[in-house]
Amino acid sequence: MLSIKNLRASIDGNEILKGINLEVKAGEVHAIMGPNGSGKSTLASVLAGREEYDVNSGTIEYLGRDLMEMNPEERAREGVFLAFQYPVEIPGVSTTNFLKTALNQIREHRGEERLDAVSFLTLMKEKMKLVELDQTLISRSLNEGFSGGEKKRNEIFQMAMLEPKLAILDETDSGLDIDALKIVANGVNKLKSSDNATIVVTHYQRLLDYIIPDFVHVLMNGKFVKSGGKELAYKLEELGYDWIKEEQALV
Amino acid sequence: MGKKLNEIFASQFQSFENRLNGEKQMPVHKLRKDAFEALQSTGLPDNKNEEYRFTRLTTLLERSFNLSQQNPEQSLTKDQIDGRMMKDIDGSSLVFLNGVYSKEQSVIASEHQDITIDSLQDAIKYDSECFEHYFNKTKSYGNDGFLSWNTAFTETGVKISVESNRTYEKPIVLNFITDATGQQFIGNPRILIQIGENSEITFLENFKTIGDFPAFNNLALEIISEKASRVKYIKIQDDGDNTIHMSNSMVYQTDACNVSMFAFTFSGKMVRNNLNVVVDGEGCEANMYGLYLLNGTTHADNHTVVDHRKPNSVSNELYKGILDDKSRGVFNGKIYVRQLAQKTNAFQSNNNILLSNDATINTKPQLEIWADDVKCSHGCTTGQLDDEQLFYLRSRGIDKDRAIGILLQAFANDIFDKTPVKELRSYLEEIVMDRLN
Ligand SMILES: Nc1ncnc2c1ncn2[C@@H]1O[C@H](COP(=O)(O)OP(=O)(O)O)[C@@H](O)[C@H]1O
Ligand SMILES: [Mg+2]
Repeated sequence: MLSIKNLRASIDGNEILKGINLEVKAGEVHAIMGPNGSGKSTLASVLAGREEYDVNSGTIEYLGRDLMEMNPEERAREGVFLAFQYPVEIPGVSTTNFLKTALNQIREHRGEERLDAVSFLTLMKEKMKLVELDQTLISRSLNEGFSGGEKKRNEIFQMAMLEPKLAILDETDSGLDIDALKIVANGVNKLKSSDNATIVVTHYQRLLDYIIPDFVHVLMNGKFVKSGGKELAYKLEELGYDWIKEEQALV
Repeated sequence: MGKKLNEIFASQFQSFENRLNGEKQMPVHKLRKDAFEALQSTGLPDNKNEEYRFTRLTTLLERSFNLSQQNPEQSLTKDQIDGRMMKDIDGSSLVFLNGVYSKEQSVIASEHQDITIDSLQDAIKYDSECFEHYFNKTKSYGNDGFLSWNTAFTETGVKISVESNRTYEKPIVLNFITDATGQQFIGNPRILIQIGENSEITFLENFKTIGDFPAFNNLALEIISEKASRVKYIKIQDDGDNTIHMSNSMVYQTDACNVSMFAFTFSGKMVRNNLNVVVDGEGCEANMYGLYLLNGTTHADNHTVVDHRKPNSVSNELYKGILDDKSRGVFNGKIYVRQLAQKTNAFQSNNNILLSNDATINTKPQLEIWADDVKCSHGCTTGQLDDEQLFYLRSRGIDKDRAIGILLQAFANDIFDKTPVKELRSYLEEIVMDRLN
């Protein structure tokens, strides 16, 4: 589904990603862990198509196509979804109207009919339940005045509405209490299928108790320095990142 | 402006007077003559005039018009006129053809039957007392050359009087239709509106020019809002990229009045709005809202003055602008709080989004406060669209143009939310949508 080869990317002349390789197949859950500033959000942003980042070398293939050739909206329509680490507030735009526009543009792209108002509302109700999101939040301006947890839940709600093929969750767990964490994880798990894949970015192992990864990758200094199964996450939780740093120093 | 323009005005005023016969004896003519004298001494503002530094209207007029040419008779057909009305608004529709009030073309809603609507000529002739009492009484600050010009040549327009204790649901739309099909047109329409105590009403002003010759309307409007009246006054400027428009709107508030004013500017070659609000009562609320959505080379200038003369009143001002291409916006907001006007709350804010590197905005707040116990604030912002917001929308599958449209609409929504008349809101939203998508 996703194949990243030797990706190098920079912003304002600073190289942040220094040769990333990653293979993600349909049905898989990958966790990306790493200390603050290691480049996790940068990788997520590059995948979603943020134009501020310059890709200096390497390739990203998504469903057989060159992802770098696609603008952000095209990626979204082809099934890429980024749950932002810091969802932006957009005063004056209601979540409902925004989602209706987004969903219909995606449906149009897939050659499907636009959803009428009633079907849209029904769908919204159903997906809101999934993440236990309150109706009043949805009718307010997008993320405006939302608490950190509400913003994160709204991200997963949008993901549920848009049904992506490749979901990238950037620190969706940060700022959530344990109950909210369970709700969000549960939402993600329900959306999982053999056709789609999930990349979970986090720096705690906690979320991975609920969203069980098939692979765990450790990002440091713009490179994956270690990959393994979910037991790697436990080891990181217990020992931190220092042992990896030491290992690296030996190489 | 030089001697030449003075001579032109002098000879025009001469022939205007010759045409007037008996009316020269009327008190109103004294006001015209005073205004003419003022015009002769100050002239139209040139670019040394601080108030018109960014808006070289006089130069543009001299370049675009033969100022000594007489206006033609209008020769519009009913179809042409009908096409320019604001059809979807449920209310009364007053029609002015080259500034002249046309009873035949106007439609008065049944709920408005008890409102006195007279052409200005009739009001001057038959209602000179009321006219004398109110006409040219609301002038607040300075001597605007364009206002002097209008007053000196006051002849066309309308006088509207609303009785006390009436509440009207529907708006009165004033449609100014200008005929520039065969020749240039320069008009000085005048509107005088008097609202009785404790009455409530909405006015909407719409300008449409037909034809390709240059057209210039130099409008002056006065609203006298009696005690505890509630008035909404909305101006829509979407008259094509050829027109030049000047307006002096003067609003006079007495005790416990609530007046909301809206200025929407969507097109025009050059548009200048002077809005002067005199708060001469206690417990008043004055709301001034503006939205200018400019593209091409449109130049729009809003100069507002709110003059707090009495204690315990509130004024709110919010002007927003979206500027594309090589358009230019000017905002100047003056707040005066006189010594007597203690416990005044006055707020002002002007926010702009520039969509192109060639668009410019000049914005300037001017606060002059002589009272000590007041709350005043002002702020202005100018920026581009927020990249993060734009990316967020696009990352959900919304194409770039649409996403820009959504963000700009959200920016404008503050003003739309406050706009009265449901049909008007949809009308305006449609204009904005069309423009932005
Ligand atoms: N605009 C920028 N200019 C320079 N450096 C930046 C910019 N944005 C982010 N960075 C740097 O890139 C590095 C990676 O950031 P990020 O991807 O957000 O890390 P993570 O998500 O892993 O915490 C950090 O060192 C950060 O300071
Ligand atoms: Mg991050």
